[in-house]
Amino acid sequence: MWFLIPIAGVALAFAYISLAWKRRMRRRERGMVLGELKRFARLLEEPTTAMHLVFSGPHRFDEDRAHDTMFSARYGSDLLSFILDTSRRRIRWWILFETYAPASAGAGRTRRHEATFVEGAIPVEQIRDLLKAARGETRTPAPASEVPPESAHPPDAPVDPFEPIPSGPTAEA
Amino acid sequence: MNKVLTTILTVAGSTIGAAALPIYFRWRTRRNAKAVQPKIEALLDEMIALIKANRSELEKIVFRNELTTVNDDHRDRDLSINAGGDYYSLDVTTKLVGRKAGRVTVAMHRSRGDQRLHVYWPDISEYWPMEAWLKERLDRLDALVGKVSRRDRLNRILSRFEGGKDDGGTPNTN
Repeated sequence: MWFLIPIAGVALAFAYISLAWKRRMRRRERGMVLGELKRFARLLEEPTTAMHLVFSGPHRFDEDRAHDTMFSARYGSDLLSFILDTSRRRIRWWILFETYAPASAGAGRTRRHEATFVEGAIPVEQIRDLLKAARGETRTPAPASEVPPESAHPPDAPVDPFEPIPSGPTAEA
Repeated sequence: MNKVLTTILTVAGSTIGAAALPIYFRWRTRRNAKAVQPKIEALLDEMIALIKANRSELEKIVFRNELTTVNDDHRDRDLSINAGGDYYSLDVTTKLVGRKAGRVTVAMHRSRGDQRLHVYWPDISEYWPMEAWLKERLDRLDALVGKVSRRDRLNRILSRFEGGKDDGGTPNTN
């Protein structure tokens, strides 16, 4: 039975190394996807680039009820997809970032990164902006040249503090 | 005797292998940091040159210019500029607490026509002590840009219109 000790030692070392390796790879993917998410949110804010962002969705398939593509954002050859993953009794965002080669190069996918996030673990402000833009709720700000100077605006009208505030329906993704 | 020797050698080898993994990761990060440093330097210099060339109309080219502390454990420096069709974004994250306190990670993106450039220093999701070349350039950028931000100005203007900024509620995604 002596040979069990070295076998167990090697197995433990192998398990540790593979776990540490996977953890590092997962962290890299997550960092990469978060970076791309931030980049898309920035592009959305920038009036000159926001017009090139194209949204589509939601896409739902009867065959796969656990994964609903809530929306996809495309900027040039980059595609960012937000998939709501409700499999295994959990709710997670599965975010896919894909880069496609130009059509002249055979339209093959050249890069793909993916990560899953529990809902509270992603930058909520940025995903909210993207969600709103995907639903067409974002107002495109006017270019700087068309925006009148602040001094040209009349002061805000006085507001009645006791006026009831109308409550809108809850946003649905 | 052979059994004991084999056991000792195998267990010791496995332990050394497992312990060497973090050292290997650090070595890889250092190697990547050295490889990426010239690109980051060049990109930062490009940003500095663009800002210097457009000093009179900074509000037109600097869009996002923020320094935010998130969860009290890291600080995010966000700067994006858009000039002459080139779009640059700089994201510097500094750890504030823990074993990696004071270490930074830098992500830079540049869009030029249909070309995209993504550079990470020292590596994606890796933190490294601040180095003199980086600090010098970031300080210079901060001094040049100040607090100018077109995004803040647009938000200020838009908030004056009816239905400007929303209440910031979390969307119900289910």
